[in-house]
Amino acid sequence: MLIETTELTKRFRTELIETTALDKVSLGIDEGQFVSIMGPSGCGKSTLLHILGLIDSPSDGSYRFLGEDVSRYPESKRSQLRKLNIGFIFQSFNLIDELTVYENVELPLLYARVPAGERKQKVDSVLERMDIGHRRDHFPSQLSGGQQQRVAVARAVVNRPKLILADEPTGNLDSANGSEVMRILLRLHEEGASILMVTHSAENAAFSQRTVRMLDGKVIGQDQTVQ
Amino acid sequence: MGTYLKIAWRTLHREKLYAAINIAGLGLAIACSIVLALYLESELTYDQHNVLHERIFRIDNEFSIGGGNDRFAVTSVVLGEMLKESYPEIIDYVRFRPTALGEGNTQLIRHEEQAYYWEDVYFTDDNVFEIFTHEILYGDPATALVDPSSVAVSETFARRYFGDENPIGKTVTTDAGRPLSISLVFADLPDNTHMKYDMLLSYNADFLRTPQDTTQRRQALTGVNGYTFLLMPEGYDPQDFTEISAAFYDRNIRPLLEPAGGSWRAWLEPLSGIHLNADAGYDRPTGNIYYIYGFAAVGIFILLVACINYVNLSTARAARRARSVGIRKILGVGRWALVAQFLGEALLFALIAAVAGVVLVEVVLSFTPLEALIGKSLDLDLIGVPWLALAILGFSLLLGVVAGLYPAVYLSSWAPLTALVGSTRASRGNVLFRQVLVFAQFAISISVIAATLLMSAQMRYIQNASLGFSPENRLMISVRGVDLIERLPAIIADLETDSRILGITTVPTIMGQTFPMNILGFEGANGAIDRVTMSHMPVGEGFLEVMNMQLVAGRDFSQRLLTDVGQSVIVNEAMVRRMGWDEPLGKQALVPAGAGVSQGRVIGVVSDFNFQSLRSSVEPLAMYSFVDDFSNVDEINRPFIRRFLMLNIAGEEVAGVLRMLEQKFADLDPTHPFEYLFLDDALNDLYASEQNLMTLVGIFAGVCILIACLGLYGLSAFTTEQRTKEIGIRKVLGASSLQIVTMLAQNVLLLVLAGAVVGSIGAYFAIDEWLAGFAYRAGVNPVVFVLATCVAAAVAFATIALQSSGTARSDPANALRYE
Repeated sequence: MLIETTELTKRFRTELIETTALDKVSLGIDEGQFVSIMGPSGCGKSTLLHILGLIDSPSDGSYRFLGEDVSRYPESKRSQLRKLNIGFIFQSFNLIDELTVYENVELPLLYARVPAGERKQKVDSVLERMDIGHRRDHFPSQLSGGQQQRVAVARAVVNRPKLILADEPTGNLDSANGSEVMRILLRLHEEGASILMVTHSAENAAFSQRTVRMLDGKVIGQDQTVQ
Repeated sequence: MGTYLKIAWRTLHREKLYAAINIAGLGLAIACSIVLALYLESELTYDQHNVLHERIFRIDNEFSIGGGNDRFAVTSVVLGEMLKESYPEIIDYVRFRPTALGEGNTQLIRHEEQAYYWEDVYFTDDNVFEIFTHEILYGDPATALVDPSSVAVSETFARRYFGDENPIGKTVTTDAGRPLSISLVFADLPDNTHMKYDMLLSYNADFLRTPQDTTQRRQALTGVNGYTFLLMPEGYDPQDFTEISAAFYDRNIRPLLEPAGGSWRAWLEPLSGIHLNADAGYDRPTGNIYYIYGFAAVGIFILLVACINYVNLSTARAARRARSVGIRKILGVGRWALVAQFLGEALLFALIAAVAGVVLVEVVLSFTPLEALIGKSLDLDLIGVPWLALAILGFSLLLGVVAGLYPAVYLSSWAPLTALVGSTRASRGNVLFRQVLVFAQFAISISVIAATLLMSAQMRYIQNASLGFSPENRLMISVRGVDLIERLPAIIADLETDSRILGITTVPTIMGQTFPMNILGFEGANGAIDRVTMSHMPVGEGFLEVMNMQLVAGRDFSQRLLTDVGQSVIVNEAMVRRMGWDEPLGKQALVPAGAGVSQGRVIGVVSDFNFQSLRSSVEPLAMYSFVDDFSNVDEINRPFIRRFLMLNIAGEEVAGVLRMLEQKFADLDPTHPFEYLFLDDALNDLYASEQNLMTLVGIFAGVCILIACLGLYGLSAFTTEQRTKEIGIRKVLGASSLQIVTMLAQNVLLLVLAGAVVGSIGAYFAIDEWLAGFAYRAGVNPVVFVLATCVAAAVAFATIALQSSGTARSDPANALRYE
């Protein structure tokens, strides 16, 4: 199993208030699956995504990733696992403004210490796949929303990660661009990628194989998608 | 690193205001550091151009007579010779004997129709070029000064008379008509040379021969006439000279001084330490180690303020970088790679600032009177001195690391999610840290401003202090040569008919310059003559009246009383206190009279007046009438006798009187160019170094404040931007623009006030230490600290207002729509 959580809990504490964002969430995702997480604002889906993406750690419960219990890993170990195995796609693209398209996509390969020649070959290849190669020397501010998201997808997959996490990938896009991005994700899935997507949109959720529904930090149901 | 620099360059491009502020601040700091470094390098390496400087020592000595200890940089001219004969560890010696001690050491040198005065002319031994390093342009240093009528001259001297021609073999003449043959030309001595000269005359002249008889030589040891330098073996410890000095004194000088209750000792001053460490009378102008400390401190302050700026701006703008940091961390960047990236930015800023700083220094040195202010030429020769460019580069990069390290570590410390979701809005700890930095900047700036104001007050106090005489509109004219001096009574009688001239007298030297000091004799408490080492000077008739000095007892000199010439003495109140006299009038006195000594009595006591710099308290002084008997003066020395005519001129007539005098003296003495100076100008020159210091510190105080305000401008730009929505809400609720600006400024003003307290304390202690070098002090006025604080607060408020007034005055809807 790629991902396995057991009673995963996350609490946020301020001076006066404690909020339970995740409340004993138990979930399993196999390799090669395309899973959506749906729920109203504040239900904890992004928090769950962050923990599963190893960019946050749980308060209680356990999380096994690729068979390893990573619940109490320090940031340094999580970082190592993250860069080799997980790709991220964000709602607001989160490209680095001072880097070109090429340089943004190259970043994960740089951090994974891939040699220069191999980096070039991989970046060129994925830019062509995303049909954004002609904009390689442009900066994010010079691209449309759809183009930026395609760059973000390219960055997420350039290292051929085991898991792609997408947090509202079409949230800042119009319908045409949003559909385009979803078709890309579907194609990636068909090529063997495991995808976990947070979305408000039932239409987007329909692209996935399974939908996990959340409310108030709990998983309240899971539906197999009819495709 | 190439990638980091590329990213840093792009960041700089995107955030131009922030980049401009940082580069301006760092560039100014680097420019100031370069200037200060050049100055300090010059001051700290005085005389080190001499290859043998570590082996060359000057003999300084001290005479203790009559309860006083007087230290001199000059010694007897036989001392070096006698020491070398007796002590084999002394390898060689060389003397520099001024043609006259004190202000009179100038020579008029003629060649055909040209005649110029040259200062600091010395007779020196013919081995001088073996011991002191000179860049020889023409001539043979081994033989140049062997011939008694030879002279070695500087390049400036040679050009003045001969242009680009080789002057070897050419003849110039002294004022006495003595011909001198130019035998060597040396390049002008470096600025940082303690003992500067343009002419060196041979010591082998007959009239300079030192006695060979032991008794006469020992007698000569009690006089001081020249500077004596010793060449010692490598690694010689000057402390070892103490034994030599003691043994020499016992054998040669004790028998002469002990019966008079006196003693003598000598010590060695290392050549390269003289400028900053020597403390003896009759020395050439020296530096002041405290000024070195002061400048170094100011330089460090400026660097600190600039670094604080960088740190403050970087950490304040951290939220802008948060997303980038968060994404990179999610993608797996290592922390130290992030640190390297941010350090790369800091290094890029520092590099650009270094270029800007160098350009600024070149502009300032070329187009402003900074060098005149400092009193030395500063040469930023990056091509001729390659290590200088490397040093500036290395220093700038180091500055970049120092300034950039904390922001780099801070910015790279966030957890990925924290950075991504924008929770990096300043933590309480970070806000406090930035406040501490702003507080530190203003503490430094206020202390420098307060120090400048206090120094200015002290200099004004000195200039306006009651000197005990009136220097205003007192014109001094140089009268050279016995022939002209003997005509002075007639000249004075003629000038007295001019109603614009309120009084005329004669003096031997310029007030404030070094007065002659000798052992005089005065009647002590028990009626016997006590020997006293003290200052003394002959004066002309009417001196007290012309100088507006006050007699507190007795009477002034009178030409009508023959006994007043050579037998009457007027002393000051300090002398009365020194001798412990209840009734000074009538006390016996042994004072110089012409070439000899005369026995006389005290006829008057004058109120203390400051005849030396106000750094020193008033010392005992004896005055007596000029004895104009020049019958014992050798023909060869007659032209070198010098006196000054002192005129009190009606204030509104100065220019006209000066023109009249210039014409009259051109007729009376066509062989000498007209020389004059105003006494108040001459006195002000005594404090030139303090004036320069004060101006420089003032400039640097301004730079400090400027850099601090640059940072404040950037910070307030950022703060205003962050609070745009809040500003909009407040305006909707009715706040005026002034209230908005005040709200934004009040935190900073509190920090300025807190900084003022600490800065004022620091300035107080620093200035108190500096004031300890003055016998007369203005004291520390607390109003100065209030003023410095007000200046800093006003500048800070204006900076913030300038930056935030646009937003404060804008349409609230724009502000509310901002997010």
